[in-house]
Amino acid sequence: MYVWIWRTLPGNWAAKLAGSLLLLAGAVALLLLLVFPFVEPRLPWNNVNVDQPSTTSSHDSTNDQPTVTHSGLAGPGATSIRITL
Amino acid sequence: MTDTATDEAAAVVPPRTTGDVVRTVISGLGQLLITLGVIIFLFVGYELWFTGIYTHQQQQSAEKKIEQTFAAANPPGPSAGATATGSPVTTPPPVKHATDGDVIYPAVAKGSPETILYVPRLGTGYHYVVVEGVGVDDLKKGPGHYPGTALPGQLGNVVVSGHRTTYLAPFNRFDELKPGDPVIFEMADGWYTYTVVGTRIVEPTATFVIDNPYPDKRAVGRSFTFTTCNPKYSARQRLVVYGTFVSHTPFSKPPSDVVPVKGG
Repeated sequence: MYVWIWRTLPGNWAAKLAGSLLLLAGAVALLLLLVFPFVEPRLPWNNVNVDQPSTTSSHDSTNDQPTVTHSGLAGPGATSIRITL
Repeated sequence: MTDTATDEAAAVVPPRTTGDVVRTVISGLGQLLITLGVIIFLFVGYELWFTGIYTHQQQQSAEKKIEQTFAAANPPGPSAGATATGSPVTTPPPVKHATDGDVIYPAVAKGSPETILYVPRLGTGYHYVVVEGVGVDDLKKGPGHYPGTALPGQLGNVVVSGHRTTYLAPFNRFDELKPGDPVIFEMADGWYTYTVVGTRIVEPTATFVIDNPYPDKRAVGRSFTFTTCNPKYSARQRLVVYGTFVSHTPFSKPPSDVVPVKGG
């Protein structure tokens, strides 16, 4: 793949080097600016909320109180609660 | 196949053997895997550093915006808020008050700056502009205030969530907060000092911390709750830091352990 690109690029070795660096920069820019921002929200480790953002908007209503009772003292194995929304 | 044949487009190509095809496929596969590895490293770098560039820009513009709001609410000279007494007052001045004495702030659009958060334990310069909303786009700008929960100074629980490792990682070191550490919110009507009461680790579904973060279920009163990922680089649990209201000082008298964004 890379051998083929090197062969296909025009000019002498300097021009080929410049061309490959340009291609590399383009590929990195494509990844950083388009691909990664698209992929990122679909990955789980950036979620910092204790709720789904879609449900927090109606938080001021009283019926989103968790109805399940829980021990309250939370450790790594804390109780999990289903919200009623 | 000689070297000269590979350098220039050879007019005469020797017939490819099965071995050539196998070699091409295997080396192509190897290059593909190496490329994927490099892309994954690049993605890690993107998550940890590149995302911070965006947040940094957003924080700077949000800071400018909220400073203007604060300046407009606190005109220089003999302002209505600064009374003659030098001691901290607990009655918040300029902003409107409800009939029960609670503070009323003007509504802020989603993604717009709401308050400035100072945590002296993490350095005198530690401050972040908290924006309204906890959606993906809001949290890219900085820590986000849960819509519908109290604002600093208001009766109820102030809930703010922020990123632990990406987008400038505002809550990265929140596991270091100890009971008694001050947490200060700058609002248009002054400085609201809260104090950390405790830290707990809960399941991502533990929405009860929004309503009441205290394990012993004591009355909420004026409290705050911060939520972020735990452990770092994971979203398996949530780190929750919570605490209670201590004091309010007017805008002209910032708490001693705070370096205001713009010299007060």
